[in-house]
This record gives sequence, structure tokens and C-alpha cells, in this order.
Amino acid sequence: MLRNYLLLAWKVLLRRKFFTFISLVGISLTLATMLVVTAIIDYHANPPRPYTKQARMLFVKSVMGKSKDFTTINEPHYGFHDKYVRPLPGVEKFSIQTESTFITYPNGQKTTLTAKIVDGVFWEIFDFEFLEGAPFTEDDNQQRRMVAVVSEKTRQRYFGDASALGKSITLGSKTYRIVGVARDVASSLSVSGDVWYPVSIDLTPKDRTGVLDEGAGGFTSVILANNASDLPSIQAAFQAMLPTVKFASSNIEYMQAAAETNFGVQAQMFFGFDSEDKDYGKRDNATRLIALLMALTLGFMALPAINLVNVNVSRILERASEIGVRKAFGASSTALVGQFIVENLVLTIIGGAIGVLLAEAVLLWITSAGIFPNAVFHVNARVAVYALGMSAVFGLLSGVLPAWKMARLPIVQSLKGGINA
Amino acid sequence: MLNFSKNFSQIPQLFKLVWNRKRSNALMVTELVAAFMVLFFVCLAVLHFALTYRLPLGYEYENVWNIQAYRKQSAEVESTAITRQSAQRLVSVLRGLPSVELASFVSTTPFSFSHRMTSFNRGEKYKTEISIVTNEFDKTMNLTLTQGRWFNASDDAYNGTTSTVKVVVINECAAATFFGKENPIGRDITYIPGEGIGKDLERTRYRVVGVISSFRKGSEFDQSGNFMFERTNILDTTSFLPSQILVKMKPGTAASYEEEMLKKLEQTAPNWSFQITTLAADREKKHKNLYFALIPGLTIAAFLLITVGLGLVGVVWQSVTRRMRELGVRRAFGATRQDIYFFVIGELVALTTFAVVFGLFLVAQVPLIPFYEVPTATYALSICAAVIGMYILTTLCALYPSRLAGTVQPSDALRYE
Repeated sequence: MLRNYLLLAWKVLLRRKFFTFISLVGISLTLATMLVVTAIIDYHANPPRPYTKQARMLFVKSVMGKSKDFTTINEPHYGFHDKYVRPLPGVEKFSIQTESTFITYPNGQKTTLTAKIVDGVFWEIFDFEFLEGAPFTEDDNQQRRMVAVVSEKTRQRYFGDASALGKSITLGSKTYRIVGVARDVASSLSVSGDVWYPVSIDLTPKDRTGVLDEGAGGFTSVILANNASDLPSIQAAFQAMLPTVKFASSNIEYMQAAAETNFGVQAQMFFGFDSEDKDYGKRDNATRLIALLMALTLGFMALPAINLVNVNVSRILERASEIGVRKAFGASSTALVGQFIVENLVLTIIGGAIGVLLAEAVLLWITSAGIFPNAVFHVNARVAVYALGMSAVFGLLSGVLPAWKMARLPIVQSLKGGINA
Repeated sequence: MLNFSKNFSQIPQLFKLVWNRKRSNALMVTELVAAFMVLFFVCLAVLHFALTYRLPLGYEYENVWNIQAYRKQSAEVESTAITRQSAQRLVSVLRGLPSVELASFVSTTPFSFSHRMTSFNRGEKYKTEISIVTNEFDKTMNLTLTQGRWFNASDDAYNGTTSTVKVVVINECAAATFFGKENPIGRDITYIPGEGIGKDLERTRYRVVGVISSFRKGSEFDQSGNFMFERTNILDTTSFLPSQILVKMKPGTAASYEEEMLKKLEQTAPNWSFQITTLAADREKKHKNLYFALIPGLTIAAFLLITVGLGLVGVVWQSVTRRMRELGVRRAFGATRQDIYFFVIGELVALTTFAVVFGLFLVAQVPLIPFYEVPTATYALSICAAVIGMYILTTLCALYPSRLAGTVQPSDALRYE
């Protein structure tokens, strides 16, 4: 039965090539657009190496500090991460980072370098691929050794194709010895950088004790849990810890913050920071963002779907006499509806396949144009499954109404071909 | 061609035809309404940005370099007085450089992504952006003063955070917001007490000494909102020290001069760190940021409209083939080819009219959404453009099928099965 439907569907598609063309253009453009957006979101929600252990990671970034006169949302100070987040139960590994920007002129070329200032554990949590040498260790960090890791791009800018190991790099007033070269990471991922050096070098005693109102701010931290299933209990422990934080001055009354997954952090950045947000840190931003994206997807699909319905309805009316004959020979409405939905699904899945190819081409272009530097986008298996699902939803959405209309055509009139539905 | 009046007399009949088939036309109208909304937002975005771009910026950014200067995070805290002395030294070193014309401290530079907003009263209207600047700012940016005067040394009397009176220069937009048509010079802008702001701020009075024509901080694509310049004297330890320096360079200064300038700055204040960009580069960055959102949005909208257009061609074509017999009868009764074109296109145009009326009702709700303020003129213009665009789109879609219908020979059509 299904084989007959498929065969019939194929014949119908070939019979009216112009209609097939119109439908396919609509379906493939719609799906290609969604796939490109999905692939880019997927890349950031499930980033490649060095985020191999992402499922076990939590991030602590901006916190809200509430004082009598004003509210600030900032990345907190080293002491907050060190004294309050590090000892939370369930934390296997813990790393604190900050960042800074340096302008240098290697070989007379102006270069802006993003420096990630990290501890030694950072390299155990994120598994960077090393082209040369190795990362610095936690001991290097504790001993304040003047060592640095540079990215592939930085090596290219400074030394061309030559090895960078043992050479030095000057940032501001300090000079570091290069111990490793890491492969470039997409600069839209928060872990990316041009150069990394130990965090202890810049830390003053005040920075070490400061929580939110003493010493320098701008620190973030990453928690690596033993198991992904431990994350909720760590998040609960984090919330329970917040009221116990003691501030240097009595000016700050309380703080709000969250330990979030990578996607949660990005969702918060998407929604922005509002100092009047009373629920800051307490909201499930990831779910909120997914709900918003789904609503947008449906909204975007509505117009092409209605368009396909209209084209389909016209096509059915054209086939009125065929349907009349089938009905006269005893085909049930269900059989006719089934046949038409299969026909439409075949159409949308072909359109989906073209959409995947189109999307892959656009993603290749986005990758090579460097719109997201160093990021390599593809329609991967996850995105392809999503595409298949979306094609099916699209096919059903646009097939059901015309099929129902078709099944209701009166036999006599359809046989005469004079339908005025 | 000659009997257009006859064709136009058919118009009520066309609407009647469409109305009689309202159930089967409902989906078509829905699609056209959705297409109209897409077209409206495209027109709104394009017209808004195109019209805003043409307005004067209110300042000159060419040959102005932007230096971010801040004390390093790691630097042990030095006394405020020492910091102020190095800040002052930085400015005098910069002014001593042969390629530099002027230098001024400023808290928010043009084209930057940061805001410093304050709200003097309830309602979006009274939100004002503030930038804290030193005396030389007006000449560095070449602002246009329309009333009163710019800051001068006599304003030192109002210095410091303890002073309850602050002298400010506002733009014409802010002058209209706070004082309407009255003369703002010498008048005070104050906060409404009891709105949850700090007690100190509640007492502060912002005394207007001058009005400038406009200052569109965002970029050419941003509208002119309320803007206020507050004066600071960096040598006064109780007043605010902005973290950026704008430097007006002599025309023709090479970009490579940056490295030399940076070295000079680092020698002057070793505990500070500096980043130098040009306002032209900042502007480019700001524009790119807008294009990054705008171009994909417009591309997607274009895809949607192409999809709709192709779909319409299909539907009209289909309805023409299905009604060959009816058209044949019309031809047999003396309808000319032009009459048939008019009839086929007219039907779709009638359908579009229904959709446009419904779409206009939806579009009328848009000003109620407070997400973005658009001038009424732009809004009205976008509606006109979208309506015209919609008729052009549907007419184009019906053009080819109508030609097809026109070629029908009555004898063939009447035999058509």
C-alpha cells in the first residue's frame, strides 16, 4: 500500500513540474534558513573541543550586588570564587579566571591580544589541543612563574611559521616565556583567547580576600563536577551559600547570583542584564531561551506553511476527477487522506534534503567568510535529525487541511470536474 | 485598452466574486496578510535606518582618536591626588605632541556600546544619557552651540561630588523635553523626590548653561535622544575622573603614529594601561553590529516574500487553468484579451485589498508595542510603502498566469476538460 502511495506521489510530483518546483523552493528555503540558525546555536550550545567535559561544567559569571543606594551587576572578585564557591560539596575541579586586553606591535603590526589569566587547573577542565609544548601547571601558577601559552594565531603573528617554544612575549610591562601553543578556538566561545598566563602573577593580597567591594573585580570561575547528575545539587548548594557571604563594607546588603551551565550563561547574556531584575540568578534562562526560540521558529514557519497549504489546495482541485474515480471505486476518505499526506511528506522530505544541502553551503560560506572567527559550522547529525523532524512537522501541518478538503469532495461533481469548492 | 472605463465598472463585481468565495479565499487572505506584515516590517526597518542616517550627527569624528586609560587592576591603590596628577600629566603630554590639536577626558565616547543613563521623572521620555567631560570636549568634537555657552573655568565653583549644583550642557532634544519652548539657560533640571533614588541625588540640581544642536552618541543609525554633558575638572580630587581621552589629531596623521603615542603614554603613567582606537574604527564596529542583525533579518524576509510570490503564481495559474471554460465563455461573449488580463489580475488585487485592510488593522496596533520608538512620519511612510509593495507583488505574480489566460481561444476553452 505504502509502496503504491510513494510511487503515486513520485508520479504526481513529476506530472506538474512547476508546482513541484514552487513547493520545493518554499520548503527548502524555509528549512535551510532554520537549519543555518539551528546549526549556529547548536555549535554554541554544544561547543567542540576544549569543551569536551561540558556536561559536567557549571560557570559562575556576573553577580548582582545590592546596596542601599544602587545595584550593580558585575563579575565578582577573586575572593568570592576562592572562599565561597571552591569549597562547595560535589566540586571535583575548580578554576578561576579573569581577562585583560593588550595592544602590541609585533613586527610593526598593531595587534589587540585578549589575554586569559587563568590558574593551572583551567587546563585540566578544558582539554585544549596543543600544537607545541604543554600548558603551565598549577605549581607554575602558585610560584608565579612568568610563563604563557599562546594561540596558533598569536604564534603566526609573532613568529610566522617558526616554533614559539622558549621565546618570549611582552604584554604591558611584563615579559613571559612561552611554554605552549594551543589550537585556535572560535572567538565567539567564552574560553577563547590569544594568550594565557598564570592568574597569581597579578593578584594582590587585597584581590585574594575581596568579595565584591574590595580589590579588583572581573573574575569568573568554572566548576567541574564528578557527574553531570551532581549539577543540580551543586547549584542548590551555591544558592544556600549566597546568604552566608560576608562583605568588607556594610554598604552591600546582599547578592544574587547563579552557577549556570554554558547554555544558561549564554541565555543570560542573550536576555541581557537588568539591575532592576529582582529575580536575577533565580530564573531558568536556558528553558526561557529554548521556549522563545521554539515560538520564533513556529512564527517563522507559519507563512511558508500557509503558502504550501494554498498551493496544495489548488493542486487537489486540479485532481478532482482522479479523486472522483477513486471514490466511485470505493476508496475510503481515510485512504485518500493517507495518500495525500504521504504525497506531501515525500515532497517536504525532498525539500528538506535540498534544504540541508543549501544550509551546508551557507554554513560553509559563513565559516570561510570568518563571520564567526575560527568557528567551523556543519549540519551535524543532531541538526540533521532536527531537520528531518521539522520537515515532517512542516509536511503534516501543510498536508492535513488540503487532505481533509480532498476527502470531502462530492463524487458526482468531481467526476464532472466542475468543482467550485 | 480603449475601454478601461468598462473594466473599472467591473471592480464592484470583482469584490463580490471574492467575497462570495470567502471560505475558500480565507487561507489566501491569511497568507497575504502575513506577507503584508513582513513587508511592513521590512519597509519600517529600511526606511527608519535610511531616514535616520541622513540626520546630522552633531559632532565630527574624523581625525579623533579614542584612548581608554585606566589604572591597572593589579596596581596597588595609589592616592587620589597622585592619580589626578598623572591624569593631568597625560593630557599635557598629549597636547605637547606635534600631531595633536586637542585632548579631552570623557566618560562615554561616541559609537561606544556603553550607556550612562539617568531618569529624572517617571516615563521613558525623561530618560537622559549623561557623559561627563572636561572643558575642551566641545572643540575636540566640534559641537554646535545654539544657545548659552560651553563650560569654562568659572564653572569650577560647582566642582566636586559634594556640590549640590552641577553645570550641564544639554542637546535640543533634552531642552524640548524638560523646558518645552521656554528658554532653558540658567534653569535647573531636578529629580522627582521619593522615587527611590539616593538622598544625595535628590538634592542635586543640574543647571543648564548651554544648548547644543544634537549629539547622536550611538551612530548615524541611532535617533537623537536626550543628552546631557556634565562638567568635571580632573584636578579636583572630589570630582569624577572619566576613563577615556578623546584626542583631536592634526589631519593627515599616520595610523602608525599610534605606537609612538602609546609609548609616550606608558612612560608618563606606568601604573595605567591604555588602548588606542580611532572614532572612525569605533563607528565601523558599531555599524557592523547593526548590519549583523539587519542583513540576516532582511534576507529571511526576502526568502519569505519569494516563497509567497511563487506560491501566488502557482495558485493563480491553477485557478486560471481550472476556469478555462468560464474564461472561454467570456471571450465568446466579446471580452477582449485585455479584459481577461484585467479580470485575472483584478481578482488577485481584490483579494489583496481585503488582506491589506485587515493588515492595516494589525499594523495600527504596532505603535502600542513600546519596544522601539519610531517617528510617526516614518511609520506612515512604511505603511504606504508596504501597501504599494503589496499591490506590485501580487500584480507581478498574476501577470504571467493572466497572459496565459489571455491566449485562450474560445473554441478550445469550451471543449476544455
